[in-house]
Amino acid sequence: MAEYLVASDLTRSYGGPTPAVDGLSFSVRRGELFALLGPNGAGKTTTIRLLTGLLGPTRGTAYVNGLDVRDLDSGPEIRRQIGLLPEAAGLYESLTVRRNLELFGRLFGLSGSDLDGRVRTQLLSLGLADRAEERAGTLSKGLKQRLAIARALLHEPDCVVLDEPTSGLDPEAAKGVRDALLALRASGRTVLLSTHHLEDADRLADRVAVIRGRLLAIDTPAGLKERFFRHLVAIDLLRADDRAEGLLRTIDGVSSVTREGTRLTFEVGTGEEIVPNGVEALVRGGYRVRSVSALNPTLEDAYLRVIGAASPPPPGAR
Amino acid sequence: MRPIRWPLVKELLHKDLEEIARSRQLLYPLFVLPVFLTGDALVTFSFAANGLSNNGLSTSTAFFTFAEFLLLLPVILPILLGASSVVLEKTNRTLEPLLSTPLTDTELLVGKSLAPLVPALSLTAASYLVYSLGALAVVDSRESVANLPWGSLLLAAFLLAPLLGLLSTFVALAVSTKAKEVRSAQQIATLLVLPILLAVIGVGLAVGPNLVGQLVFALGIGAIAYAVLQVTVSRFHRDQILVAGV
Repeated sequence: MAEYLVASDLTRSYGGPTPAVDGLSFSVRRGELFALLGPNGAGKTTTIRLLTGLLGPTRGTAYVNGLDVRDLDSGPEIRRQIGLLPEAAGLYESLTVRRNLELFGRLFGLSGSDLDGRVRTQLLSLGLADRAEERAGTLSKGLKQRLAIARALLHEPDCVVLDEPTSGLDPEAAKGVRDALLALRASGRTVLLSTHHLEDADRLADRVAVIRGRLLAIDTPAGLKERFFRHLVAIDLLRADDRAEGLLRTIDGVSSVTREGTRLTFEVGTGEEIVPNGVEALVRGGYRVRSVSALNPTLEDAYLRVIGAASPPPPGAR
Repeated sequence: MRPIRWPLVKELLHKDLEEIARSRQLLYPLFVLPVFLTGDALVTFSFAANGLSNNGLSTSTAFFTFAEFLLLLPVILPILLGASSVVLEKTNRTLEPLLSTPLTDTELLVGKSLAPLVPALSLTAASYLVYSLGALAVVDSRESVANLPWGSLLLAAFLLAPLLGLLSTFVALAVSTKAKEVRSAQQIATLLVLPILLAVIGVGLAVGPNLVGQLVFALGIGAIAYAVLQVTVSRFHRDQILVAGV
């Protein structure tokens, strides 16, 4: 089966007027690193809980490697196939690092030398071997997160689901987690990741989905950027004002003109003449052009465009 | 129904007991109450046995009456531990990783029930043992020892105490799965077991060392424990535990 995780009209309500997640349909392919993006309260954690069978859907369903999450008998098998890193590391802080891993290893049915070997491997690969006998509560936040990742990987799941894995970490610790994610991807596991760090998603993910209760967009990071910003151009002038902005707007094929200091940024449609026409209009208008450059939009630009397009208008807006 | 995988339950129990053993906040009250109640029961019994009591209790009645007070232990101790067992996982945010393991709801419920029950019943049994040994030391003649209602004591220690412990544990767990924080869980659970405490004291005094009366009381407690178990099981779903109180 090419699809490992499937959401089908997935809906969950907590009893409020609007569901936390409403009619989500998408799939995560086997071996893919898939990022779930969305603002706070968009339903990312609820989606993860639904996809991992921790919460039951109000409507629709989800499948994990073909197993329906609504089927209670499949629950233990679904959970065995997934390694979950929740939003909070959720470690037993009075227990040692090793004991935390052993506990979860045993709950996943491991024992004896197999368990010992896997604990040792995880401690080594995540750089925790020299802290193994310390209480989990004494670790830094970054190390706690690494321990939680080790716990999620201990039973060697086919699929790893991580809810905001770099949230609240310093740059060094976040890099450690990113390295772990790259290693996961290299190992061929299916990875579902929810994150606010759009650079991480841009760099790591094969595909991304933007949600806000509903699915707003789904594509590769490059595809998403291209869909919302076909070509972005910046013209730096020696002096810029509202009139310069206005001149650009009169050119056919130019859209979304913005000005920041002496820089005018705009999107261009298809047509080789658009940029030269724009430059010519500005020069004729008395403006002196310092430079013209093509810009590469970031995933953040695309994300903000998606979210902005989906935002309800403010009260009283026309 | 899927059979219970006892090694998983044992692992969960082991983890909970380890956490209890490492927490002074949980450990101290657990020992203070049995020491206080057993000591108090023994001292009061020794007064009665030596004719120093002014309420005219016979040695036999005094022995049973103070032994009955030890039945407060299997009611109170599971509340101290059980009311916090699930809600503490919630507030420490360890519940989600735990629920993401292959543990079934039944295994989770059994593991979480045993964790308060095992220490509570062990301490109750130890208290009865200390009380019995103390009573033997206090009573002066072999004849008096033989006249003590040992059958009632054994019935209290090995039938009533476990049943009361179960009932109290199920009440504590039912509250713990719905509560937002530890203190409110303990307060609500304490309020709910108050009628049981009053029943233990009231029935103990009314029935006295009467084996049949005790058996009927045990049957009643067993029936209530079973009913509470049914309610606890029906409400013990991981989905609801995860969402409740957050």
